Amino acid sequence: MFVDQLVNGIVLGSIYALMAIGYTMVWNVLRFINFAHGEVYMGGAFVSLYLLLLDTPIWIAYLGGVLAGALLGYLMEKVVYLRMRSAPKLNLLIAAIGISILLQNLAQYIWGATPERLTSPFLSKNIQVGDMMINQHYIFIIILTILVMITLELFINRTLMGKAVQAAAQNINATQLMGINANKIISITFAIGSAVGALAGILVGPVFLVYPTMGIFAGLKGFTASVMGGMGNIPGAMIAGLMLGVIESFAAGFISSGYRDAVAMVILLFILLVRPQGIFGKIVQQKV
Amino acid sequence: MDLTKKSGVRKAILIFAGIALFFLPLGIVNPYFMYIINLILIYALLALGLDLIVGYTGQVSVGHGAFFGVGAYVAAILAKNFGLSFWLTLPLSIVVTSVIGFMIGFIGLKLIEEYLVMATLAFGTIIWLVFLNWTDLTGGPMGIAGIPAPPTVKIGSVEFPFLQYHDYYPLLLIFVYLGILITRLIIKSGFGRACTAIRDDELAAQAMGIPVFKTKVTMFTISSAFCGAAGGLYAHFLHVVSPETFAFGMSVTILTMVMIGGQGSIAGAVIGASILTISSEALRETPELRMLIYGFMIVVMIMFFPKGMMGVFQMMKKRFLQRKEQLEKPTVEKEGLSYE
Amino acid sequence: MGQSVNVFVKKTVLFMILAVLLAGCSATKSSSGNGSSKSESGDSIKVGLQAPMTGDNAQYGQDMKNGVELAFKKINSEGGINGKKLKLIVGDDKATPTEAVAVVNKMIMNDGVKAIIGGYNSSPTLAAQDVSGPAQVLHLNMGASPDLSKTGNKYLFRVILTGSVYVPAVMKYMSEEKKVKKIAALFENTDYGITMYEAAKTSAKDLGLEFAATEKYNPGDKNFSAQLSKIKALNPDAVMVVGLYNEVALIEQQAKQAGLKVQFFSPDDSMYSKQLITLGGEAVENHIFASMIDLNADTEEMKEFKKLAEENNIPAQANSAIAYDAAMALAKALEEGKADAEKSRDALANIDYKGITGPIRFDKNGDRANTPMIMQVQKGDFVVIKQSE
Repeated sequence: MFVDQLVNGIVLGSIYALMAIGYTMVWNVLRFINFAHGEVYMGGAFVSLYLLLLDTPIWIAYLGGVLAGALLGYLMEKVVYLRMRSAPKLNLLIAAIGISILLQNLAQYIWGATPERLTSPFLSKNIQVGDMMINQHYIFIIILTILVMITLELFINRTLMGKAVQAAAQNINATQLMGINANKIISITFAIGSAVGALAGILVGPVFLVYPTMGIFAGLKGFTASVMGGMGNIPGAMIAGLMLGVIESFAAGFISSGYRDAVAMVILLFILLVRPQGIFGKIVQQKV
Repeated sequence: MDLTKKSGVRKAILIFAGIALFFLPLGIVNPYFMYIINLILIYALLALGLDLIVGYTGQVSVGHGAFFGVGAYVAAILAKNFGLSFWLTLPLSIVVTSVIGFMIGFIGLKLIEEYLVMATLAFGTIIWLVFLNWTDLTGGPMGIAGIPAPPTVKIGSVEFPFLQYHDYYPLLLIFVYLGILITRLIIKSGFGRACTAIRDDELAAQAMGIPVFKTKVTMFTISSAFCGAAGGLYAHFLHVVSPETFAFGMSVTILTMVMIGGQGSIAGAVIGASILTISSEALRETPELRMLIYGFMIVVMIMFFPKGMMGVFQMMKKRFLQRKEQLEKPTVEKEGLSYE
Repeated sequence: MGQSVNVFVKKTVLFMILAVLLAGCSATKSSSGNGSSKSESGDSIKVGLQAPMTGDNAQYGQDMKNGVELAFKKINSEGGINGKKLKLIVGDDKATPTEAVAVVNKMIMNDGVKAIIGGYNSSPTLAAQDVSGPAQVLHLNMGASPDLSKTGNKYLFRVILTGSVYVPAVMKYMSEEKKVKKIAALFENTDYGITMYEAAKTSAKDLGLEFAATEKYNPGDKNFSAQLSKIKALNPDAVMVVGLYNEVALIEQQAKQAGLKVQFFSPDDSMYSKQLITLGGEAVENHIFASMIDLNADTEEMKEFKKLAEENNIPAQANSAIAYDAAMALAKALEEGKADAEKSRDALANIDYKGITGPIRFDKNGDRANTPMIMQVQKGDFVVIKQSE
């Protein structure tokens, strides 16, 4: 049972980690919580599903979903958030909530409310490890997550664009003064964060199905993970996501399944109060 | 001189309008409209409460839906399990909600800005999960049904029983008025000004010797008490409470009402509650697109009217006054003439 | 200055547009409302559907809507009721009591509906029947809560079987035919799940069965691995799953992946849908459940329903079938009662209609009491393994 829960926890955690990246990247450049990020997760999965219905090869459908997610995030920023740069953060929050309601119901209007299963080439195969079976799709999720993490890490630290994103995270105004197009950086951040979020949605589609409200809980968990890792800290978000998945899985297994989500929330509170900078964050002084 | 006279007239009009509102049910026969009006009153009370902490103190909470739930559940449990009357359950639900609000405020308000948002979200979710899982007390997902109506009020030989929506309206209206009165008293007091100072600049307020944390916690407690009252009223008005009502969505709805109406304004809270409730009902004519349009409306409103409806009214008023000024002093118009 | 004027004008225009939009919406509402309220104006009888059309439960509301629409199409094509056509008014209750009361009020007062089908969830139905009862509007719900039998509302009828009817049937079958001794339960933490679980507990005691574990999951959960691992560790003979088709399919698939190979069964037919097999595939094979409906039944009514469903491109499934039956029974009652509130109620209370979900007869609490049959998933289809008694 212990190993079962551990594997489940890691799979869940991978999804949370992918979601957390989106929250954290947006926080980095704009300092606000994009509550509509869960809808990118849903949108990406739906587009993949739709492409599969059109008999698109599976890998192209997956890629199409990821690109659609990136486009959705990009549009969200260009159409709404860009016009609200000078508005208080609370307004952005409400706008995000509005977008979230809009997209959820748009998805229902277009595709209906019935959950559908996304196909996966691996779902029906299992791998025998010791005396337990592990679904190949789970392994696929874990491997892909690790790949995404490595790619992102390389992108952020090794490319010029990544360095610009890092600079923007430190001070967006100064970045602008240095001759970097801040709006372009923000757009890129949204697109990448959303692409990763959409990938998470596509990866869970075969296991937990695709439906209009699928983004709500995943969003909440991803967001929790991003706080745990320290807002704005990308590697922190990844590790925290994995941790959250494992802790939750064990809590549900050994404490109570009804209160599983409460466990995540208690951890969130604990971290906020004891280490508001997150497990891996650095303390930032409040600016006067 | 002119100003005091003006404000005196304004006050008289307001009081007259306030009294006139009590007679509104005479003009509305349709119980459906009456139900919606009552619902607006309950939401208005919630929005007033949340506005105290969001609009006047600058601390954002996305957990007030849970306080609403605590109020409703306390009233429901006391009325159903202990047979207490409405006049006892309501004060008790206010007290219990305040205590919980105080505790949460005491823990959560050490955090600032977005971190506070996250903390209130966490608290709200935990409370909601308690509603859902503590089956022995809250009835779990079944909720609690058959909550009795408030007992008949007797004034002299006249009786006011609570049978229809029309009967609840004066009661709810009184509570909204009370809420408005308390809000006004608070914001006009030194304590209220301390709160606004914190909202405008927390560090400066601290430097001026305002006990920032204490003030915030006090305001948070008062704000949750408003939600407790709304919850108690809701339970006795609807006769049914169940967990799904008080999920995260409710907190978000109240916050959206405050923002759409215009934060830091009494009229704004009431207008926000009215606009969102009415539009949600009006959109029932297109069931397929209802929530889609609703979400779209929120986005458009917040994008183009960042200060909510009150901001729009103020902008119009300012324009109007400017126009008037320009007309009265034609000498300054030169600049304006060059437009033509 | 010029720019600010521009901004001002823009904002004012936008504000006006929004205001006009809203005013337009409410104007159409009130005009349509006052005209027809309370009367059977024209040649149609309006019937309301109160069900979740948005949010997590939207798909079940959609199933109900499909069923009712099929029935109305059939009735209207055959000339309607006493020459009047049936018209469906759809109202979204978002599965919350607040919205349910609002929408039921609206349907009764503004649209002038004669009857309401719906209430998929218990709490909204309990709140809404407070409105429909005094207004003498028939209310045919699909809620699970035992409280719905105790309202004393003469106009409230329940078109699904109650847990106390469903559960003993399947438990008896499991005990007698499958020789099951030790059962684990995994139920949805909703009114429906709890009602079924409570009924199962009573019935297990009567039959001398042991409940090894009881696990629940919150509505909206899609990951059951923790609960399943716990159940696996206790090694039961069979697992009772209380949930709707999506969840049951996922549970059994995840159970298979976790290596939990036991007999699964459900107390009722909430998972009776093609969707179960589409989503669950091989994992749901051999699943046993009690059902009031057999979509493969060789009766005229069922063939007609399936033909209608196919023509209108609607998936034939239990939820839709139940709603279809509710609408048909309602239509019969309205016809007999000449759409008069009291007469129609009496007609419905004494109805004896042979529906596709078995005979429709209501007891004095407005509940149905026919015994269900036992069905099993075999080779991707639903097969009756024991007829109803």
